[in-house]
Amino acid sequence: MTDPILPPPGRQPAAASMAPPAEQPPAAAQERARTLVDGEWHRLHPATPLLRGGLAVIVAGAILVNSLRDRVVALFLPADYDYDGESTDALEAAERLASNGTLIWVLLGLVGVLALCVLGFWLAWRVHTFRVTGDVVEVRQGILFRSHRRAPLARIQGVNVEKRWFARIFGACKLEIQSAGADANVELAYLSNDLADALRYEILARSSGRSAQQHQQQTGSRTQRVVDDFLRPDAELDGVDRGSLVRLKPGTVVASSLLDLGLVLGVLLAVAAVVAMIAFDIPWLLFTLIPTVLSVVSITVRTLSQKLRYSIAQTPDGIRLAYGLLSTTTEVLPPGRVFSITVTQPLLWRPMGWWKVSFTRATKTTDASSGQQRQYANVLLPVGDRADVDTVIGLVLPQLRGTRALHDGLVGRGVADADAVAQDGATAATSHDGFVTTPRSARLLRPLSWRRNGVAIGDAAVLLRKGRIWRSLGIVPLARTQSFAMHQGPLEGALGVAHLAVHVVGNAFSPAIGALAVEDAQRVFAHAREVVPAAIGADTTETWHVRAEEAGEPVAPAAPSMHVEAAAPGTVGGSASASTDGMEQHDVTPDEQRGEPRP
Amino acid sequence: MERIDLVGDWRRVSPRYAWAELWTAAIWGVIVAAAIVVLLGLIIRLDWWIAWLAGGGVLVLMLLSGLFGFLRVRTIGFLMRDDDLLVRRGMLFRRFVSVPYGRMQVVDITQGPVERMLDLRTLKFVTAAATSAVTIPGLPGSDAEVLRDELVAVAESRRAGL
Repeated sequence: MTDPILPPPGRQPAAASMAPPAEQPPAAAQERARTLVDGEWHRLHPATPLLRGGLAVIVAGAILVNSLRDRVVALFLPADYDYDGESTDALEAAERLASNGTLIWVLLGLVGVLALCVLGFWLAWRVHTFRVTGDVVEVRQGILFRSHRRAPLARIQGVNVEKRWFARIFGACKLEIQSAGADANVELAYLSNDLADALRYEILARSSGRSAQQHQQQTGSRTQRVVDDFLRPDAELDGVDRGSLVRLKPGTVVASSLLDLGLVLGVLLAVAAVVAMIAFDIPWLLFTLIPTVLSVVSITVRTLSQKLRYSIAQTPDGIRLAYGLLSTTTEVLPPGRVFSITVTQPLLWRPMGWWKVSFTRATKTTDASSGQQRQYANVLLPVGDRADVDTVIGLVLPQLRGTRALHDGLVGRGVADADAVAQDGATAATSHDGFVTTPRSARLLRPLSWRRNGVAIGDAAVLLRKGRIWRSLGIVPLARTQSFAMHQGPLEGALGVAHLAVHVVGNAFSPAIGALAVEDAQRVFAHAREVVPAAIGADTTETWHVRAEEAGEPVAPAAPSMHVEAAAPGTVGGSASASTDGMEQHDVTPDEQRGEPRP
Repeated sequence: MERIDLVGDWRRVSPRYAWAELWTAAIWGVIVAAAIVVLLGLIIRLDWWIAWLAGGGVLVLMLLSGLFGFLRVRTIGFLMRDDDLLVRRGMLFRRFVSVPYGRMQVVDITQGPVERMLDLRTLKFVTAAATSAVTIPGLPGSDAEVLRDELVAVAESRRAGL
């Protein structure tokens, strides 16, 4: 407890070496969570109505009554009373009411309204129940408008624990089970903190088909109180493998936020406006400036507060993302729930060598109250150097970590070295670094980046490399590809080029690469048609713990293991190669077993 | 001029589908032309010859685009391979899409009034990605149902997650 951010080293010396029981909830809470997932209906945290907006209703009501007090008072006054809203004192009005005997009724009415509210909240809490059975999670709620939502655990896209600052005071948090599709989330709001962690662990255990034996290994003990939660929100990170953990340095975060091109331009514009204001004596410019500055500052501060305590790490149940300073969110993305990755480098970050990694997921939530966070949650790494990018991509695609392809995709310029181009400039259509790039004949289409602009299909993913000035690299795991297309318009036909697109879930715009020579495009397309179905057949991320177990019975009896059995013909059984250490359990493509050389 | 192409044993759709496109274009052409004539002639009160000219021009353009259907229909084709369904379409704007069977979420068969007249059906292969857009129009008779059952059977044996 001496250092609130970093846990003291050597606190759990054994945990780091063996299978890291990362998301260990306290033993007592784990016991309670087990009773919660017994298939019976359970209620939520008693403070739920208050946290879910009951307090807001009370406050709003109070404000409303306060501002309309005079009108309300006037309602109960006799019509002949000459009421002057400006000068009448409430007490005076009350005396007046008391004198004609209405006061008691007014007070009774107020008490009645309050009692009705409390009763309503209590009823809402009573009927708001959830249950977790072997293969589904269900939530029932509503008094007048009843709703009943049931989600299969095998279809979970991620589990989110969101702790708003207000809820944290009560030691409560929101557990959100994400499914693919628009607004398909199951929300358990609110639960007590340790219970939510334990419940998340249980739910992930069931959806992953983890065996009872594995289950037994993962027990631990830790007490987690509200104070502790505020001081050490990433205490759970103690057990996480250090090699897979990425944290952001506060200095980097602040500097990278300030080096935003929009922000820099905005500041320059503001300075210009101030200069113009003084030089030409137009003071009203100030009034247009102030709101802009305020909004920019508030947005910057908000994103900063989320980035400042950002961490991403590997756990046995998937990638664990945590962010937020006051309102924290902890999210677990099971393996195979990242559908595409984009690594970009804003222009001003280039001298520092910083990158940003974002991703797409199958969940779309149009949550009005937390729209900001939803948007933010599509970022895997807000800012980081090459090593961080390497680690983060390694969490999603272990096969890609530290490879030449990833290196070339990020910073490669399309040629092995500058001399090689000078020598065979005429035949530089296909570059030397494994990427298929724009031919020299079509360099008009990509005047600056034609050497870099290219595509490579690796063992595990398609890499789409673009941009000489604004570098970006799109990565689509082969096993997550829905379909892919080759396009050519008449103009492209005239130039002898075509473009390729990869269709993924959750993307309005498909990752695509243009200006490829026709024969190159056709070759890549044909290659993709070979490797993508094979990768899909070998993919076992649906039930990610099952494949590690040969004999062990899954915890959830209904957890579908048919996906493992129904591998496409020609695939090398992916289940045999998965290790039992719980760390390297990701997309296992047949290619991985051939042992790709890693420079 | 170098166009993308994939050689293979493409299964073509019925040439009658061009008539479906022409009829659809003609019907829409008449509706739009009538709307333009009414708008220009009755509401904006331009000279009648301008209104008729504009309406007629639109109709002729729609019919011309419908006539292109006779060329376009010959470019629509599909190919069922061991692991994926390949669909091509387009003459000027060419598009080849490959969908692994395991990615099937839904198969739709639709039939509009014009298609019903010509006994044609449109098959739509829906994946979880919104951008896949795999449609095979102009399947005559019970071909669409046969193809659908075939696709569903193959997809069932290769079921995969998202």
